[in-house]
Amino acid sequence: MNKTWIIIKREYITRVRKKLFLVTTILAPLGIALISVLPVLMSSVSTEKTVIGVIDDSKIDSTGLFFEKFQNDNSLEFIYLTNSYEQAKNEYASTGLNGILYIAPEFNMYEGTGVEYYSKEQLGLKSQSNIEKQMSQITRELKLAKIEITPEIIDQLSKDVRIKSIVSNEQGTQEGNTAIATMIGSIMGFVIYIVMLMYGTMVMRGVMEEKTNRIAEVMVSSVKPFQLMLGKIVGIGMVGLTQFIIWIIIVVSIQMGVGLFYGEQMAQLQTMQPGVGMEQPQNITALAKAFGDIAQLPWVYIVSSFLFFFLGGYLLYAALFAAVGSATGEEGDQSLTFIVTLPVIISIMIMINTLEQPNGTLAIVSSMIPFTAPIVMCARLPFHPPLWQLILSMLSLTGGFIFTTWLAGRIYRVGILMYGKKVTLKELGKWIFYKA
Amino acid sequence: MAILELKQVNKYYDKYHALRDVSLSIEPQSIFGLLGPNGAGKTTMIRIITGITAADQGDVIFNDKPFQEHHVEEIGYMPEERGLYKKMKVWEQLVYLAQLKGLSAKDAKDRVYAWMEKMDIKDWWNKKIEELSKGMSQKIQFISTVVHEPRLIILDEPFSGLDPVNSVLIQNEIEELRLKGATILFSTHRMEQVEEICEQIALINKGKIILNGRVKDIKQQFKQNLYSVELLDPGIQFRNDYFNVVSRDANQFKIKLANGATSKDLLKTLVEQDADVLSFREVLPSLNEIFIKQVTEGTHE
Repeated sequence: MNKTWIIIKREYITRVRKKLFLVTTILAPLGIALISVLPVLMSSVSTEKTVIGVIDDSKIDSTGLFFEKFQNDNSLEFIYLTNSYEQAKNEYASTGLNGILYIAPEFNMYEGTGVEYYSKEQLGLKSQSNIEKQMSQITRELKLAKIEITPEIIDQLSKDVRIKSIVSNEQGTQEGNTAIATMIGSIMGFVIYIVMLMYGTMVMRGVMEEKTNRIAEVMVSSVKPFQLMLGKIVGIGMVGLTQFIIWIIIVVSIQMGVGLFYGEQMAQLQTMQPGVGMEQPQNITALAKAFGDIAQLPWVYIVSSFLFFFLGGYLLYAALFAAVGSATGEEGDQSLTFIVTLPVIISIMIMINTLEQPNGTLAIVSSMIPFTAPIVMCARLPFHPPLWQLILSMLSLTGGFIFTTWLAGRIYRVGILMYGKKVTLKELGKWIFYKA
Repeated sequence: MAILELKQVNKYYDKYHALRDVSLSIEPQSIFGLLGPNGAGKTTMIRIITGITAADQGDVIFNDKPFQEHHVEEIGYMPEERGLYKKMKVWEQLVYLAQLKGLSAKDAKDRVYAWMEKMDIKDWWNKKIEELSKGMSQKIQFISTVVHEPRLIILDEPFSGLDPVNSVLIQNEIEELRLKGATILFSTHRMEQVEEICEQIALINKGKIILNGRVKDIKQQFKQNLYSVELLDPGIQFRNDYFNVVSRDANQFKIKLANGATSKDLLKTLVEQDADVLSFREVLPSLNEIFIKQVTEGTHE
């Protein structure tokens, strides 16, 4: 046990110290965060404003339909001109305006024609659609008012039917959110998928390195092959866990930072645009509700089960990858690697189906098979699967990784000392029954 | 009392009989040579002794006790195919391997330091293994084999790849370790080294021990009554039925005695003919000759 611990320590420390580990652990999530935050930052930093002079000759009412109706924001500013269009065009160069928005007397709000934009430079797409949207909105309200329909009625008309999903099981009765559950489930499934393949192959490469370096023979003259294998698997597993914890810390702290930033922006947005963006407040409430739903998920239960399947799945596949590494050595063996990878890929395919039918037969059966359980059961976690299925799945996975570790240990002890010839599956089978 | 004893050890790989009733006994503080062609079973035997693999039948007795797991801490093994972790620093590598042999971290570091100082390679302390030349890493490998002061040191082809200077250096270290109480088991093809260093040998072929004993005794056992005589005056007649001149190089004669003839008879003939004898000595077969003879005879069986 003591020696296994020494091996675990080495496997862990030599990997955590590597530059690549630092880069992937710290810089990768920062990079991703930066890319996603950058556009927001850039738009808020950009101070260049397009100033537009508005001449409203539509004369639908006394002051003009659009007089003082446009919303300024940090990229667009509207100034209402009183002189004629011709005059403005002539003076345009000296006024410092970027362009002139002209609403002609023949403006037809039912056709949406009779609006011109005059400028030296082409108007940006975003600005143009912003102006169009604002004008449509203003005319819409007017049109609605003419047929005596208030915005409230429109709001009621456009309400979609939403199904409230109530889940009742051993853990109590709660409101479920299928969309959120699908999202969380697929994220967890994919994370397990990546972990099993990424760290599994890391174990395989480690074993192959030991075999080709011929250090294996020195090592097994001091420790048992099984201790060597276990030390490697556990050591690399801890590297993975460390990486995850750091990622979670980075993601949570970035989210908190961005949350503060966005929170202010959102508040601004809301005070700035009363009534205009009718869809926006709705979006915001939907988003808020989604966040509420996410927060309401039984996180302690989900995270602890996830960790269980994360570790169980890793142990199960890492052992198999170790066995493959020990049997192949330097050049590796594509077909053997494929055999081990196949169930992982199948699991992902089953998972996609499972998200459609989280309690279908396929989902339940594959949750009970140790090779598919980690991904499939994890994806089902947010769908409140029955407790007995969860427990059975965990037991089956536990049995599964104990079995694969035993099996891999048998192959490993023969494999790491076997050189030269290419092994077949049949030979691997024989190795299992060799006497130590 | 022996430091190591094998009794009727058998090992099978699948249906292949790798070791057949192998028995031998190694005295403490001796240097024992394990000889044999490739594929004879040397590596299998060493792996059984080092506890890497177990015998299917037979007993391994270490220091008068049946071999147990903790005995690996009293054994140092340097395999023929050397191997170290390329990315590790020299000292970390050595301390790591020493810890796996049961030393505490502090103890391991102290001893590693002492050894590196002794071999005058302290400068390599922080170097990575991959930065070292082959000869340099061989030295590191040697230190890793002996740093935990094992009672039994097993060296598989220890001098392969070493230059003469380092070869002598390692040879001296081995002798020093032996004087301090260690027993050395040598596995090699290089007979001249065995003759030079080993007191006892075992010759293994096709999984069987075909020769086992003291080098002196084995040579006696295989001697062919061959004498080398150097004379001042080459005009000497030898009685053909007793003495057969195998070869002659100027004044140097190689004479094989017939059955029943002794060295006294040969000397008497020389004295009777009033020959000036410059040198007279018995020619014993080299281990190399014995080795080749035994192995080829074995294959003809």
